[in-house]
Amino acid sequence: MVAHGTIAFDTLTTSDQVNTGTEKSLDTSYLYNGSAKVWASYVTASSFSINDSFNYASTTDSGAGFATHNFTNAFANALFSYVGLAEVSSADAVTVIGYTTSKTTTTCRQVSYNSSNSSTDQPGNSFLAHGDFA
Amino acid sequence: MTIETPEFQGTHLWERLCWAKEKLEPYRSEYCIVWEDPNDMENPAKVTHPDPNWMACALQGGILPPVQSYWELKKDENKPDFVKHTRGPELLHNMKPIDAMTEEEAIEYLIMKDIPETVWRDWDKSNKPKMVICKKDQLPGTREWRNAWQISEDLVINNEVAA
Repeated sequence: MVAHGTIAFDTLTTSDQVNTGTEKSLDTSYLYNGSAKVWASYVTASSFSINDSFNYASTTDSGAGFATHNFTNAFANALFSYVGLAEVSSADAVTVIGYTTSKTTTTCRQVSYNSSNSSTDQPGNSFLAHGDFA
Repeated sequence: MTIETPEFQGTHLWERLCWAKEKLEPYRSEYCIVWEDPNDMENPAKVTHPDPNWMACALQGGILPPVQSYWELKKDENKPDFVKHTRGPELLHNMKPIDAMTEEEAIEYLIMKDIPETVWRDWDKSNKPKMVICKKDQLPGTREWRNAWQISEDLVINNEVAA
């Protein structure tokens, strides 16, 4: 039987015998602070739907290629970092950008453009955000 | 099998979401919210889709903070001297989580959280509704003309669904 519970510790240490043989330590707060705080996988082409996510409340379809991400746990400020990716079905140059004007501690916007610089739906889209929580 | 939510008041919201992600089945709502921003009438109607994992939290209860917490955060953020949130623990993590909601209540909560107040506060007080909750299959069947979508002026509304 597997027992579930909590292990509390502040530091992870490895002897690193396999590689360098030099002991290394890592403060576990780095793991927390360095983890992605929000992520989402969603579709805009054909129908707008969210495949899977974490810390994500909703997405707003704001037009072809436009998505506004809404989070559950707010960031401390709007200086969090985020990236987006459009997954295309054919070799077409795609640019994915974000808008600073609509970025708040609980929301940000992602847009994908095709090679003609038209905002365009994509069969797959990814989104990831890092930062400090409120 | 019914899953009981642990007592989460005082637990960081992120940890609650980790618990929910592991324990709860995502719930895919058939509803979405179509809305037009009066401050952004140049652009097409927007459609907000609830996240399935978030919906699972809303229906489960005991996980999410009250929507008023987000309003307070927004107020703080709109202050000219805002640098960073300092009331996160008070408003998100230590506030008593809300009880289980019905799907309808969850959609209403989401509207008040993720859609501008200028849209939902007086949603039916203009010549045509600024917002409508509808089933996803009531949206146009193709996205070919997505950037031309608008809420119809001939919209017929009842208390349950817009047609």
